[in-house]
Amino acid sequence: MNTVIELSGISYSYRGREDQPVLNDINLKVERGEFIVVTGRTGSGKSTLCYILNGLIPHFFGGILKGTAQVAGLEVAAATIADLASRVGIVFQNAESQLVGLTVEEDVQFGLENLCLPSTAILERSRWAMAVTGLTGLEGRSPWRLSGGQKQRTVIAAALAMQPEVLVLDNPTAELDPLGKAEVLAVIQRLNQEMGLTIVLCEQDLEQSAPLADRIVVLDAGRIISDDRPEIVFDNAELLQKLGIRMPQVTDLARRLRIGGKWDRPLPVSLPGFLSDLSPKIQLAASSVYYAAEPVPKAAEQVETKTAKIVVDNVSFVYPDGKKALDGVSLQVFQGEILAIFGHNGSGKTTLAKHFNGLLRPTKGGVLVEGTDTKSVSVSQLANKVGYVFQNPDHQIFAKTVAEELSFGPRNLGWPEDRVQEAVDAILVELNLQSYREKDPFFLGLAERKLLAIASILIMKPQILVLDEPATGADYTINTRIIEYVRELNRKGMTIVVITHDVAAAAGYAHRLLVMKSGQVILEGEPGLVFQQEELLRQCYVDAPAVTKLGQELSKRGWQSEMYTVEQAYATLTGLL
Amino acid sequence: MANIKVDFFQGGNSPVTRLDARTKLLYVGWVFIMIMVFSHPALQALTFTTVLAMIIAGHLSWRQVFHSSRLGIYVGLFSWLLWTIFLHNTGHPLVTVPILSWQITDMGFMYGLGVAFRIFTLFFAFIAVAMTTSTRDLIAGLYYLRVPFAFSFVIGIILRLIPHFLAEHETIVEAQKSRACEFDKGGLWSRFKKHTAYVIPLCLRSLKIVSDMSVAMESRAFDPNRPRTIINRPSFRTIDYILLAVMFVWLGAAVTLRLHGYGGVIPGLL
Repeated sequence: MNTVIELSGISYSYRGREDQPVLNDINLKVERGEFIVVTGRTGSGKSTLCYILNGLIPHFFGGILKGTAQVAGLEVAAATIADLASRVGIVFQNAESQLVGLTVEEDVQFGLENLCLPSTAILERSRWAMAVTGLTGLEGRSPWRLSGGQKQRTVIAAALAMQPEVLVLDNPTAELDPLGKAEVLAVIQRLNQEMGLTIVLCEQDLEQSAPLADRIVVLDAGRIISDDRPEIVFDNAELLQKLGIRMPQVTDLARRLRIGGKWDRPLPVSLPGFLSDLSPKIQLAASSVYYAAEPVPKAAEQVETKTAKIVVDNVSFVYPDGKKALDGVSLQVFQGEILAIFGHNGSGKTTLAKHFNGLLRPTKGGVLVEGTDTKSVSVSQLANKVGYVFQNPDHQIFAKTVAEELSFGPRNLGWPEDRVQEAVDAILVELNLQSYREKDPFFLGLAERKLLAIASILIMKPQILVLDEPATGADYTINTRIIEYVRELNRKGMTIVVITHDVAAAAGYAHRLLVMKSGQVILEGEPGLVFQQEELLRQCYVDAPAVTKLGQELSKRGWQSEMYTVEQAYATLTGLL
Repeated sequence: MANIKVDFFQGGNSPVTRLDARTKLLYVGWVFIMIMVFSHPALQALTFTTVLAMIIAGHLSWRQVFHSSRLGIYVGLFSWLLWTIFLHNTGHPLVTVPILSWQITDMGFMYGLGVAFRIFTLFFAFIAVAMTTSTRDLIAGLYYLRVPFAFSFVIGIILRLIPHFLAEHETIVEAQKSRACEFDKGGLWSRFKKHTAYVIPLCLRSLKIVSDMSVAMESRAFDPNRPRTIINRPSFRTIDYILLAVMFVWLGAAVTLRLHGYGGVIPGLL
């Protein structure tokens, strides 16, 4: 092994914010062929670290860089981006923003053309990179028409074609569905294990990436807090929790068991690791005492009333380009429930949700919102019945101040000004955003912008709230804050529909789950019932939570237990051990 | 964003698609000169027929061509109307517009129609070329026509970004509609104020998209001032040479005719 990345005393401040260093005295060594996962909450400095590794800092972004960075034998500050580009491949979070070519092949060849390689070498390398990333056969396709995972693999192929020594990936799976995430991580793992490529993967979700890593580097406020093997990093789970980093579910479960005196081994990183440590204990328990499963707490209390707020009756929807996005969908959304909708990208989740507030009207069938046919009213007439929060808050924020942003909806509804101001004051108090009243919303953090987007819908007093992937791009701390607020709204009686890929989180707060595939509802019911359908879930590319898989493993060993949250798993295992 | 179409190119393997991109680019240049040479609508129509032939040979959908060229159709029809108004005192009266008491003259009608044909022809020619040539081939074609690479590439990126911005625009409009915003209701000032609700996010999102793309391109060693390989190097075939010769001869004949006083409507007006 030899060192391929060496950062010594790296500190960095962006241009215009010289007094606010984003990285502080970073010292990091990466050996050739290592797989490093860098984690930390939003704003911890992960992306900045990536930019330094391929020379975008200082050459593109400017700013003040202190210390020395050696990557693949080049001194970053002295080398050009073009020199570094052939040695360090980089992949960012949003695949679409990186697609330059109009076909997969064109995109993969773009960097090679820039390196001024001969045509034969370009063809050879691009074919190889597409084969390695599983894109053979898609060469002539528009990357824009591919799935999320295929788009991100196209970007990886483009970086790989340049035959780098190091591949840096900045949150590459954050915007992908579970299938896309699995595809991308499988490719990254293969590149590392079979080709010996050095990987630096910045990730917030450690559930799937941690088991692949040789080392995990934890960043917080621009400093390295921990840098060690995953087992050792996770063994200090309390620190990770304090830093707002979401641990794998089995690690969190073992941590809780350890606190309760039921776990004495190092904390596991993956389900197989957990099971191998657990097995002797379970066998011991089984031989010494008969265990009858005690009732475990439900993740979310059942909804008592069955009043349908939204009735979707045999709805089909065809887009103007002829694409059939919904095919005979029927469902009901009940008063006071939280309904979580899952499904891979393009399964029809968002199309369905846009029917709830009239943004889309069914091609066939009908949608009733509190008894009103959405075909007979405008979107604005439905706005105070169904609130729809879009995925990216930047698609709606436009005003000069937070208060102005909040008053936009009520003013459109024709409320008198004194009522508007009262509502603004009330919602600011409710969300604890009073201090931001006169602030420019564009300068708020991501958590506050997401909350502001929700607040700007809630201020119109809808009885039903639809949230389209509220967790996308948010770290665990932000996500938890949003979920807590959503649960609070639900406790006050609001009906909530959440479109999400975060199955583990939704299993904890949703009363019902709905799984879609190819424009149809495939599964619907309480979490326990839905997660029992392992085969159907697999077909819909939905991955059950790790603790549910643990429950399924325990069931195979004779322990009947239904669990889909860490709390439930803890309650079950405390009884078992 | 999953299904946005990011360029005009329709794909396929028609005789027009197979032509060298330079031939098609030179054809657009030829069309531009031809429509300026004549002002008489009959001769303009002759140039326009070459565009129609191209659409047929390119196996293009008439609906899509008309849909993509609708701006040109509106502008052309509006120009026709304007020229009939501007030239209401020139030529022989054909009809009198009631109430306004304006006359539509033969010269105003014909010259306006000629201008409309100019606009139709240029729009349709551009759309037909864009629909039968991939952006990559267009960039390569411009590059080998000695247009600076940075300029060629900018054209390619603009063609690539426009549909992206349109998709962003659609999402932002939907997000604001969900906040009870009705863009088509209210007085002029009220409508103007409402439009800031999508103009500002759209501008900011566009800047972000452009910034992200420039970062991605830099990361792949892009430098417009450095030499690069163009892998899809265009090459002329016999059909390209024939078409270029036809265009050259046709243009020569057209210029000669015009210099001898044929093909105009109003003396002294191009």
